[in-house]
Amino acid sequence: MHMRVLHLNFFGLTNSLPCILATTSDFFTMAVRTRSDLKFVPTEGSPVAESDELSQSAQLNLTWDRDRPDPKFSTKRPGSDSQVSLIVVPRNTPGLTVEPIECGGAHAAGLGTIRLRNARVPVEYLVGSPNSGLSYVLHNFNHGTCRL
Amino acid sequence: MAGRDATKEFHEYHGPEVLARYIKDNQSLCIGRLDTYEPEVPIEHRTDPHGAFGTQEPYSDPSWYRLHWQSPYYKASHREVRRAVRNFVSRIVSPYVSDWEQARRVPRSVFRQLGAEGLFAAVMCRRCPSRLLTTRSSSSGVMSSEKELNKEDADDDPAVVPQLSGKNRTSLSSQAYKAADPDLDLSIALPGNVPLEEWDTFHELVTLDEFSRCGSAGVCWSLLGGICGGLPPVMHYGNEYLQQTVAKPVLRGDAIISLAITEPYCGTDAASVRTVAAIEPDGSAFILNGEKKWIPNGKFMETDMNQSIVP
Repeated sequence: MHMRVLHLNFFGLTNSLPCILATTSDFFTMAVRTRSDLKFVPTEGSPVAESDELSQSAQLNLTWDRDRPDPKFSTKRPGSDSQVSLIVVPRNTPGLTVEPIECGGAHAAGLGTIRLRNARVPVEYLVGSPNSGLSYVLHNFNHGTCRL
Repeated sequence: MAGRDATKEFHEYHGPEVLARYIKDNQSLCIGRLDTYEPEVPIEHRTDPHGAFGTQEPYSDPSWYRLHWQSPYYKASHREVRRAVRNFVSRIVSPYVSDWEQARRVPRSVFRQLGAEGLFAAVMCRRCPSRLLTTRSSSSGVMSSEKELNKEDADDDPAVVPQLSGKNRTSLSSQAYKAADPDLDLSIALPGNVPLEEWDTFHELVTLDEFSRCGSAGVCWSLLGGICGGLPPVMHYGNEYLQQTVAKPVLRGDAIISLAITEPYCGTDAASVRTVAAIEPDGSAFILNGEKKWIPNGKFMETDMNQSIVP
């Protein structure tokens, strides 16, 4: 009972100060929308070993059509101007805030809402190739279903 | 279909190579016809070559561990994995699930304990690059005691997360990173000390099955839900920098990862996410804007951490 009272107090407090008191996972593998003409090109002077995907991606740089304006795709369904990419977002990224969700059960799962406001993440945290995030996620669905 | 002629049904769903493959791998099986079969030992007197598992009470353990069953999928190594994970869960997880549910969090020391015992590597080993995992000697592969776990409880600080800066640009060279961190091996043993090359999907299934015995969906989601969804894409497609700074700490239990796809606008429809990552003009970083919802491990509270119950 004492613990429950403590939690009620804390929950009321943290509701008012969620951004200050919340801590969370250290990394989020996040599906985001990126411009469709984003792609990798080999870094100048770097040999690319085609057989090794990891070393290949480590020697590539991002490029895109710089004459084309960044598309405003924030409210659209997927179209020709944007596709889904996977980015790992560290929890200490400036602009990332977390807010708890009050659930009816399974409290230990710690479900929360993550808000991103101009959060800057270096391109090294892009998983694989740009605009391939959906296939990466689908690739893991069978494995993830095992857990469920 | 057990005990009956299932030839027709089997060939409706499987090619002939399936039967041949399991006969080759399992010497206790044979191909024949029931109507002409005269067993040397009556079926009711047969025993599984791997022995029984558990109490043999009906439904207390999976049915393939009963004496008369001879599963082609579950071998002695699967029993060892089940025994090791059951031992761990019954001592380290099950007694505390109610406390963790009430505290609304799982202590970080438990994540570290799971990582040290190879349980995180166990639930994604089919996608785990072998260079990240080495087999530990059997003498050191003993499950840690509760006393050791309690010793770590005081260390409940969050993991060290790399600071984001332009300096990370230099880490694109995998060779340079290897030179800075020559320790590329995790030196984590899989449960039951099963060699990496013998680890299969059924070992992973046994591991997840035994975790479910703790009886708490929230604890299972917290411990395994995030890593099962969030880490495999990183391990399978991530560059060298992500392998070292994300995959290794998460497999060791030093860091926690979650999959963040669901949004208030589209739910689990991954193709319709609205969170936008615009590229900076110099191509050095993405600028993210948007919202993700229902993310596991998304709301551990610092204040709860100080007051929560740990084993």
